[in-house]
Amino acid sequence: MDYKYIEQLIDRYFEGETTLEEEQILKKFFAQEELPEHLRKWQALFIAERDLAAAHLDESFHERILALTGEYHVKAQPISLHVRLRPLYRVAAFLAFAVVMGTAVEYSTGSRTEPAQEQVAVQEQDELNVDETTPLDIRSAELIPTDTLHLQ
Amino acid sequence: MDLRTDILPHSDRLFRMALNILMDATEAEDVVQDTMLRAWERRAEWESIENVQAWLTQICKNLALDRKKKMSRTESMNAQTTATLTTSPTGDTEGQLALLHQLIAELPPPLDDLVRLRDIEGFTYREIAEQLSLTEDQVRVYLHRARGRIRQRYEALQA
Repeated sequence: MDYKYIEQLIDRYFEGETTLEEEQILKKFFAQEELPEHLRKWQALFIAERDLAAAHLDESFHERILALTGEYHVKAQPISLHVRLRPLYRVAAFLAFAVVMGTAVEYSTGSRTEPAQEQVAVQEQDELNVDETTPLDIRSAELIPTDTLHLQ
Repeated sequence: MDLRTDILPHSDRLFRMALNILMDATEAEDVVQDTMLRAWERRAEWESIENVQAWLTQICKNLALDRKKKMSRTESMNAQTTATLTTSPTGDTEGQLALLHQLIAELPPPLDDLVRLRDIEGFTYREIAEQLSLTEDQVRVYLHRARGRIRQRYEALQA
């Protein structure tokens, strides 16, 4: 493999003539484990630069400084209407569920009449609800089954 | 100016500088904390400061050098620190950082700062010139000089 380009970059680096991009190429090149013998001597230098450039403080450092200076304020997050109403959604869902379940139980136990049957029952009730002013015998007569009547 | 948005974002860069001077992550972290608290105490001056980065760098460097004098011996990297160092592929991060520390520490000012800003922080010539109050041409000349010295010293150490 031809390392002419890398060798030229190294020379230009020490002359202070490389660009930032070329310096990145050198750091990447020397991050490899397999290097030609004559270039290996520069590895420690470029790796050290790269490692030091990657060193950083933990995120908690900023919080510590803010706490020490009394500048630690938790920012109030704007709460949307949807989030505010979330507890009500749960109540509404529970109520809807309770109504559905109640209705289902009512039907399954037969305590509630089907609409068609209900209508028939109302009609029958209307027929039975005779005007209070009607004489009692007429009402009784209407209720007497025909097979019990004996015509003369 | 604001502590959160104008001062704290410089802490990682200051940490790397302090780490390069002190060779101890815990000590470096303490120095950056002291720098931030010192900057906070002097917040009345903030509006009159033209270059915050250079101002913070100067505070941090002075604190690091003071601490360096007080440290009787170089301590090894403390595992308890919250700071993070990338593990080197050669597995000798501490040794390599010590090497870089030695190479840069032997440079006279402003060459030491210039090499840190260029090779560690990746600043352009213009940015370095602004921070160190130099011209871009001076930055080029000083960088040429600094790297020449580093090469010479590095080859001597490798021999």
